[in-house]
Amino acid sequence: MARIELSHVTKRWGGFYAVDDLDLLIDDNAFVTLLGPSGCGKTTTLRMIAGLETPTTGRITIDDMVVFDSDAGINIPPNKRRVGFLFQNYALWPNMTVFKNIAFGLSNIKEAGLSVTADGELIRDPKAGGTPRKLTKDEIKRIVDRVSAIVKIQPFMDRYPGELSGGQQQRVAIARTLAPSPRVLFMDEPLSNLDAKLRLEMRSELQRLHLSTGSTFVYVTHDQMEAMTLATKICLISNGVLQQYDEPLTVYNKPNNTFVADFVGNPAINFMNATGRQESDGSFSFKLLDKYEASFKPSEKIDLNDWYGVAEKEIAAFEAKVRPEEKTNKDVPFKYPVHMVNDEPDKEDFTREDFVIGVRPEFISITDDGPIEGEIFSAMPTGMETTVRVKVGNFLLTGVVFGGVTYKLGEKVRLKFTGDGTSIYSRINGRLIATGKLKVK
Amino acid sequence: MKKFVSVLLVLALALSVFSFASAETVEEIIAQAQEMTLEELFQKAVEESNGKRFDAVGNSSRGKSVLPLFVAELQKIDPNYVLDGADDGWQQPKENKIFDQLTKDIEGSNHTFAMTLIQDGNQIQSKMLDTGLLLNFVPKEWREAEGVAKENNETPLALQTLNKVFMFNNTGSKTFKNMWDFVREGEHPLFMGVNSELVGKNFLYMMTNEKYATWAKEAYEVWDGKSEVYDELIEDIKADCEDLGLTGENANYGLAWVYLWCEAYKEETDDGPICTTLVTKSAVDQAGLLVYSKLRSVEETDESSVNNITVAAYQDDYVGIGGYAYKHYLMLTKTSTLPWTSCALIAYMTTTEAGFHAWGKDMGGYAPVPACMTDHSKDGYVDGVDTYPAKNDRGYDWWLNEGKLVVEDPAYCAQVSGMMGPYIDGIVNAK
Amino acid sequence: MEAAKKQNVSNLRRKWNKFWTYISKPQNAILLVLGIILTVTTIYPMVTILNDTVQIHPGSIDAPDPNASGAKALEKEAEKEAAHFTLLGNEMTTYNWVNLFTGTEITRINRKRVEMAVAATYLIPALKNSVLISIFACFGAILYGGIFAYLVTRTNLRFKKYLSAIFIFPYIMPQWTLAVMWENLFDSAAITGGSDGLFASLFGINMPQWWCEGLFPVSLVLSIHYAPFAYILIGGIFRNMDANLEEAATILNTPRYKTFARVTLPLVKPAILSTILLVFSSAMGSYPIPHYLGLDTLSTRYVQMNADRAGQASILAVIMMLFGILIMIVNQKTTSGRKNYTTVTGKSGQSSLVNLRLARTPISILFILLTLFMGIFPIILFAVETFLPNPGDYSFLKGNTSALTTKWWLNNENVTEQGMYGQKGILYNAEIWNAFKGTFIVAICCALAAGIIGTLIGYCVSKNRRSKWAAYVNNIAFLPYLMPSLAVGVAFFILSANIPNLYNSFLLLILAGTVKYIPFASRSSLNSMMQLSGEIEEAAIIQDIPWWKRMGRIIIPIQKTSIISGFLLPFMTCLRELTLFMLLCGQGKIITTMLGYFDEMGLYAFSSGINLILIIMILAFNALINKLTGASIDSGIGGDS
Repeated sequence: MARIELSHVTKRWGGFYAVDDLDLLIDDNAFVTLLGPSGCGKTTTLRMIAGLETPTTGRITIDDMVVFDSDAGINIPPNKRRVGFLFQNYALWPNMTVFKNIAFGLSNIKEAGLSVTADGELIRDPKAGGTPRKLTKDEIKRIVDRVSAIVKIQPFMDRYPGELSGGQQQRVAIARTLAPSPRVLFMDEPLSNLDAKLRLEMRSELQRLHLSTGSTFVYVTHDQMEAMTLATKICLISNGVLQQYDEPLTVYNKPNNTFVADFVGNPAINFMNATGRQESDGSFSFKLLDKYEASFKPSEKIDLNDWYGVAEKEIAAFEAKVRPEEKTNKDVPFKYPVHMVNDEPDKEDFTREDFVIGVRPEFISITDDGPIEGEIFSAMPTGMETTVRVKVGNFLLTGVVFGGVTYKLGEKVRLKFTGDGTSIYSRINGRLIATGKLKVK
Repeated sequence: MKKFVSVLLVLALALSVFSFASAETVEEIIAQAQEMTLEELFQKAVEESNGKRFDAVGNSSRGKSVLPLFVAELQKIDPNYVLDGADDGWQQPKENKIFDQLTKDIEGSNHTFAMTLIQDGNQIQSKMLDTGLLLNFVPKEWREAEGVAKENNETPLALQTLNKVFMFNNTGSKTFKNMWDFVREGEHPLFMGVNSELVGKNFLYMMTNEKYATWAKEAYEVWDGKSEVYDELIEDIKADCEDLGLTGENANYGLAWVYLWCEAYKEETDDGPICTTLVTKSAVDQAGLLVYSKLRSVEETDESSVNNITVAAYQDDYVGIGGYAYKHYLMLTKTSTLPWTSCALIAYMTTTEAGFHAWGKDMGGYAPVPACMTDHSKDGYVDGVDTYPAKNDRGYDWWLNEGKLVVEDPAYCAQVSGMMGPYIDGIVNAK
Repeated sequence: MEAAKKQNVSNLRRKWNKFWTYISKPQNAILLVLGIILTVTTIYPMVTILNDTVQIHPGSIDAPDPNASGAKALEKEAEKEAAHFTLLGNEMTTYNWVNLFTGTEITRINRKRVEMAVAATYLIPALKNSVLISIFACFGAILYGGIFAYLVTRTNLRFKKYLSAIFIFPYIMPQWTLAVMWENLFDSAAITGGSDGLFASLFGINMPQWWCEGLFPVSLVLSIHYAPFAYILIGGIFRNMDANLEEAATILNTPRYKTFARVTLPLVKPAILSTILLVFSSAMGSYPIPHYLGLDTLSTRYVQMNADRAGQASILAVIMMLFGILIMIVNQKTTSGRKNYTTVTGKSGQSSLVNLRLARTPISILFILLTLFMGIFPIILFAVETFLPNPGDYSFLKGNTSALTTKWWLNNENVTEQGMYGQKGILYNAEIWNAFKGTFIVAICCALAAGIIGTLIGYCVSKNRRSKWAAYVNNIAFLPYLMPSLAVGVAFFILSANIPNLYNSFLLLILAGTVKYIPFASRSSLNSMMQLSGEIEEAAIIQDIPWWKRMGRIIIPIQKTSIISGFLLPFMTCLRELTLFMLLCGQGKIITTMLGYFDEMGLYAFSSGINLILIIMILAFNALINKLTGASIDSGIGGDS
């Protein structure tokens, strides 16, 4: 149970900013996932909090204890931060049995205020005072028994890591991390080495663990499905810069920008370029998909020019940031994919009349009364649902149809957009302008 | 704290002064020892070194065999006397390392060596005596010995004079009747490298000394290989003599011979291999210049025999130089670990037959004190029959005169070595 | 003002905190300490050699000679006087440098008076020969060792197990034993003077001069000695190479030789480069082989010049050192470019072996003969030599078996000579056993020191891959390895002159040996540490397990094999090292100098006997350690297997 706070944490090597001015507040008992594409800086961030990497500048506190502060020159080594770390490759010690692997760290603890409950839970309360002591052999055994029962590896206590399967090793690694009752648990893509089925199983295990231990979990993954299903809050990072930090559903429904919208969601969101403007009644009229006109009604009141005003201020503030060295890995506007049959060149200059419209696949409905004409380009039924790609003119839209419906390739269909989860973004800066209902005329 | 430290310092100072004051210097001991008899020295040795460690370094391999006899003598005084190092305390460094070893030992702060048996007057003078690193000790009984040859043997004290003589394998048809035969076309006599056995280089230096150059001239004039080619060389080489600062009238004969020898000789690592080679049946027509006493170690087999060898100078019709002589000197290190014992040992070795026996038992080593010497003129006799004539040593006097040995003179060597050294190196290098 | 002061204080505090954080990581603290120590132990001796070149040595050519007479001699004295200068109260001279490079001497060559440059006598031929033998040795070792490596790992050669075991024998044997064996085989009275060797006496064949002495045999013997090195390095790469790479080429119907040239060879390049770097400097620094086979090289010249040209001899040592530094720079350039792990992917399955077809048996037999001749035959020869009545006396071969004797082993009395020059038989010879004891002391201590320091360096450097200081420490530890042994020996020799009671002490030998052999351990350790994931240790750090416990319970047990190899290699090399130690101690101190002494004296029975004992010991050790821990010399040199 611990609260983690990062303020202005930067990690750079020369001009390469792996983590760029990150501010993050992780609540006590949260399950936060650091999500992002490969090389975005999430593992680096994780390791910095754990102490395995040293930030270039910034401040990190765990549970109100400052563990790093570049100004004050404070850098508490990782072994003193009392955190748990689960490595991607488990890092089990090959020369020790499972039991030894788990017990090794325990035999090392020397603190005041140690106690072990009857069923083997280790309580650590250094502030309670008293003389520091080590754990007895019996206590260690009780703790090991408890954590191995949690992850169900009791039959393997005498085996060596080399004699276990991937999933078993993983669970041993979890047990080892849990045993010393760390206040924070860091996990670095722990499930990426497992096969699909096992991965799903372990995901629910982790969720249960989070509940039962009551610790704060910080979890790194590139799999957005994992992040969505496990986290209390998702922290989406790209190119070292924080993109969004919200609950999963908020990230899903109200993505901050096109990058977030595209990253989260499977199948990915549909993007359409549109031109248009805001009308006097607050709604927007668009021209999209070459020949269609549509009207967009935002769920909340918004004024486009005000919005641009605020957005440009924020962007200016970001760019005005003083850097000791110029950032060589430049932040470029996200190139969201617009799927077309034959790729066409895009225009270069954007005005406030250029928009991007995002519609999730589940909000595309194939009905006979839809205003959009289309043709089935591909259909992939899974039994539970069917993912369809529909050719609309030169564009390809992806939709998801529930139930065991099949389509024939080339079949002519009509589409319409449903729901009020459509999102519109500025083509100039890629940010979310509003979400609402899109109606095609 | 400060007080404590200063008290300690004072104590330390006092102790060191005390220890200095109570120890006699090696010079003082030598001064006393030079007035003592052998028995008195033995007594002092027993007191000093019972149970202690004795290390010495020398150019001769036979130092080892003296130690057990010496210990036996001391045990007559004290039956419980033991000397650590009687088996292994005697070292024989090669490749001229002895000078470095001695210097490092003496100048360092940890002294191991008590004394040394050392050759090469040239280097001794410049590196050891002029710098005061080695100290000389002349036993009383030596000075008073009957017939002792004091000249050139006293300062520094010489244990013995050794000779290296020309020998050749006689199983073939070649003859070597003149010193110039050894340098004739096609000959490659075996010889220790001039830069590893420096007394050999000294010999070459001495060849330019007027006395020996004249012998060379005399031999040349009756040589049957004498020819215009050689005449030209001898004439030509006068220019070299001038360059090298050689002032003798006949120096050019000596230098010419030296030149030819350097061109011709085949380098061997030690006199031992030279001897073992020459005594074999297969070394037909080979010749060499090596220490005479090596003949003592040949074991007779089908392949090897002392009779396969002829000592050149022993031939009745041999003309010219028969070899050269150099000395082994005995000295104490300035920082000798066992000065009394060293003096006793030196006195034992140089004044008694038993002490000299390790060297005296074979041919080729000549002590300044006649009483030490054993007669080797019949060494080749087995059961009254002259079986191995080469082993019959004709004695020091014979060698000096009839044998025409070239004797090492440190002063002359020092004078010419500066120029002649590189001269010789140049010849050898171009081979 | 106040704010500025505060800023300064907090700056200082910040720097202090930073420093403290840096030091609290054990690998940094160790690196700092080791870096300083190694700098001193490596650079200081080198500096003393340089210093020695400008010192005045009494009794040598740079000291004023009061006896000089004659015009030319006085000219020289004037030169010496001109070169004299004082620095900080010390008398120094540039005469050694001036004379060596610009001086001339009178001499006579081919019956003609010549004014020869001093360099032409004392420097140039030696330098030329040293470079030549090093190049040839590299070439020969790689050719022979590389071909053998290919045959063993990639073809269906017969008798592989036996061949690969015997092939490394010449490396295990002391260097010069092959040289002495060569002499004993091929020398003849007619050509080289002296007595007949085996060939001449048994078959009447007199090998020509160039075969018996000089550049050819020295290069050949060096090649044979270092071929096992090349075999292990190159073979290691062959063994671990991913078979897929070659198979991909085969599928595309690439001819065999092209696959070899374009796919295989480039992969092997790093190993070839490593071999060249190591063999080059080892060959250059070798003293015994050119000494016995009559070749003038920098090392033999050094020893000769030490008598009366000590300052100039040191200049030769400086030149050798420069070669070492050059090699290190080349090493840097090549290894920074290439990939630094040949990680075992474990995927090198049974790639199809090249079928030698008809050539199979002949080639196999050829190699059997070769390895027999170079590996087993010398051992037999040594054994036989210890029973000969006189050194080199093979009269028993002519039928008379009574001409064999056990005196060299068993003789226990002092007085009658029996041709032993005053020595007792091996089994009773106190000197010999003391020397063995000395060698063991030195070898064990060197192994421990070099092993520990090297392992630590490997560990620390692998953890600090980007740090410049780590790279520096790694290089400075490696430098003595790349410097010719003789130069390192000279450095410590001169060092011992400046530091009291160091000369002829075990401490000096252990110091020199450790400094020279640390790279064995650091290389092996670095290679295997690089292959260990950092997470293994991080998992322990997170659990607050202290450094010593991490090392002792996790890192060391995992790296056991390579660590032991790191200890084994210095141990074995120390046992048979001569050139490094020969200037530093008297001949009775260690067994190799004793061996050298007996060889020089021509007492071949002793030297052969000692050689025999040494070889058997090394082989026994290697086998024992291999059985117990899986480590062995080959994995040590190769680093990974």
